[in-house]
Amino acid sequence: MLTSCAPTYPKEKIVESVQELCEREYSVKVEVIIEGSTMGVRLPLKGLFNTETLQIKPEAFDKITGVMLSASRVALSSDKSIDFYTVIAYDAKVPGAEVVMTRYIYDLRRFFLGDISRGEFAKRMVFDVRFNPQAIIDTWLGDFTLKEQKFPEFMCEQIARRITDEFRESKDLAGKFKVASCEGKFEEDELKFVVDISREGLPVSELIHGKAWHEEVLELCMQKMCYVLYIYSFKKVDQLEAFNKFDNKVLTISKDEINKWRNRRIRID
Amino acid sequence: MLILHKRIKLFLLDHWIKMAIGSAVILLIGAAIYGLSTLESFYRHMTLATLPLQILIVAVNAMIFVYMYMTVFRGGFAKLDKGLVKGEKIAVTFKDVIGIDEAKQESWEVVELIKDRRKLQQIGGKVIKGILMMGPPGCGKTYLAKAIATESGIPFISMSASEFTEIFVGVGASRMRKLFKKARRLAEAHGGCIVFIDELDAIGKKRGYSYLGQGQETNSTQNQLLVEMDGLKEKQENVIVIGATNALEETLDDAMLRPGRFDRKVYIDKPNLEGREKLFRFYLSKVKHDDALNIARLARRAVYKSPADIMNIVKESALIATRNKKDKVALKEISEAMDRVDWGIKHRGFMTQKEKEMTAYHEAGHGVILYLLHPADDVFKISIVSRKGYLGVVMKHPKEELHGRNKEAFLADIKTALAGYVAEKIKYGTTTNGVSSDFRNVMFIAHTMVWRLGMGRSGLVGDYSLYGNNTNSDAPSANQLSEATKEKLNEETQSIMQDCLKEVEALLKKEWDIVEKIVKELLSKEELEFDEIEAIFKQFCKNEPSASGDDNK
Repeated sequence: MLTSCAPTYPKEKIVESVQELCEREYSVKVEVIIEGSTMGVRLPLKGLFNTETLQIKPEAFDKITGVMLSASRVALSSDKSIDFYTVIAYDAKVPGAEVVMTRYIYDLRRFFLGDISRGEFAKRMVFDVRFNPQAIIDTWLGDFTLKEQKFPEFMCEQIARRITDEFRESKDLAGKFKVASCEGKFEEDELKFVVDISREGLPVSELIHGKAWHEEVLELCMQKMCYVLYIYSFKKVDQLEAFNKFDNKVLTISKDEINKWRNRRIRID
Repeated sequence: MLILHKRIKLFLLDHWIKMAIGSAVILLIGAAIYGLSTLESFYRHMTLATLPLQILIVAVNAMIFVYMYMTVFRGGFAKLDKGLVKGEKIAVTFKDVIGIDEAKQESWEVVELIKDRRKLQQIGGKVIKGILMMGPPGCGKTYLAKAIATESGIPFISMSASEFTEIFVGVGASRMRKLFKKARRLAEAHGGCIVFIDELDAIGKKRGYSYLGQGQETNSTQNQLLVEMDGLKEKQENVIVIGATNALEETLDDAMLRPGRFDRKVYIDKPNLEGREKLFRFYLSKVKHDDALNIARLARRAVYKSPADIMNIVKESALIATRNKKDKVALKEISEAMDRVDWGIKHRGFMTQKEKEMTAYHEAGHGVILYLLHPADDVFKISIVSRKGYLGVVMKHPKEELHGRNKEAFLADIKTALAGYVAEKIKYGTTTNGVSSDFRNVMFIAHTMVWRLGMGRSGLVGDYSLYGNNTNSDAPSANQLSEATKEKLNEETQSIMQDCLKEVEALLKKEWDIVEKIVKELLSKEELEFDEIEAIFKQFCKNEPSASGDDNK
């Protein structure tokens, strides 16, 4: 009884535990590294992408999901304080091409407790297909190094993904906009987002929902920024700024306005 | 060895269900612990964290299910929602119990027995189990029970017997068990407990058995009461049951009345003259009243009234005084209150002058004969104001508290009843249907005198109504009287009435001036009180006969 109260995956054996689980349950060998409170799992796969469509193959996707589940189980049932885990799947045959998925353990717990929906849980994962992986992963002479994930960076990546997905998947916006770039960073308690979003074939003065489309773009970015800050109750921010490189327009809102938005007293539009 | 084997076998036979359930529970708990221990720590913690909530939800679901099941299919719970009342908090002492001195004396003995139970047990005596208070309604049975609880200073649980009865068999018995369980616990903690069951006849009537199952619930409730009072118990607690009932003792089940159950019976009757005086004094002390009020006379007038009636009269008189813008209660208000309690509300102004006059002669006839001839009753009021469907009324009250009635009193009753008819006949030469209820009374009294009480002149004695008066019955005992005997008895009845009629006619003619005077007064005042009536008779130098029957005219 008493031993059953102990963590299933003690911190001393956390690396071995992930490897063992992945091998036992999904028959894959992974490399695991812990950096601060971030756990990185590197998964080599033969045939990650379909070389014709450049889409992830379904069997590869199953293995990635299995490894993510193993990482989740270990992170949740360990006495080691893990805040993030990142699964990097790569294909040796396609050098430099990687799928990177990062999860926040806090989101994981809330999902298991039924506090957030499956859809929202999926949106909170940072997912990226990279063909130039040096930003996070340094591969040099076969060594695998990991940069510790910081929460503000994670939020920025999540906001960027939400903005990109919105323009790509939303019924009203899909196919009409081109998202050339979208990235943000925290600088002295100010969250700045720089996007390059254009609407081809339409003049800047064209109206969407009664507004010039470039204003709509910045407002949408701002909404996503506010929303992500809100869901994590992140208050250490004084100002938000969204800048569209395409037309050099900028939208800024203050801390007071963020709070009012949180209290549903104002709308960002 | 064989005995041990048999005992083990018997134990297993007796307890196999409990043992099976216990084993299953242990098995399930073991399986749950094993299952939990095989989970990863996060899932284990998550399961354990949500366990209290799950237990709560299951418990709430179970409660809702049981509640619905019991409410819809089983007629509700046999719950006993009776709180403890501490004896001293009831605050009704023996000083507050007025007018029922004998019952009070008997009850005081009960209190002494409750208080000195240890001493009693030391000398080998047994504590009383039950006290049955019997008597008419409103005589203070509940009040006396409260006084017993206060004086003995032990907890008191009060219930009405009707609270035990339910349509579903077994619910009443279950409530009874719960009541006594509670009482025993209180008795253990406080050294004794009084259980007061009001209207005991609801569960205490003689048990009957029906093939259709009628009365089964009452029977089982009563059986449970009997068992609780004098059943086989591991420990005898000092629980005293006080039952109160208006029902006659004969109607109660014999098993309830035997020693060991309700072994002490306290008869609480209506208060006597002295008691009524005390009651009037007590209740009048709570309202502002005229100091000149003759309380002794009020007590005389309120003969056969219960304490509750007297309380009601005083309360009603205070209301009347307020309505009449008086600052205190006087005789007029009390008299009106008594009339209202006895005869209901007055209906004025719907009779014609002629009707009023005829009613006045009718009532004056009653009043004069009642005053001059009746040995037992006084005339307290004559009224020609309509009440309860009567156009007029002569209110009479016994001169003193008599518990029997002699032949002379019966004859006086007949004469008084016939006097209205005679007065109408003398004055108008005709009569009205106002005599119908008088004749019904006359017939009943005369018939009873001859057929049942041997008060006829022929010398026939015995209760002939038992064997000769039921023409509708086929029972052998129903018609055993000869026609000749019946005829003789009926002639006797008629002769009594005729004699009385003649006597009344002669007397009224002789005293017609008094009748006329009363009629005149009635037509001007509508109602005459005792003092006014007496003044009229004094004016004509007439006195009432005494209660012993001596005529002082």
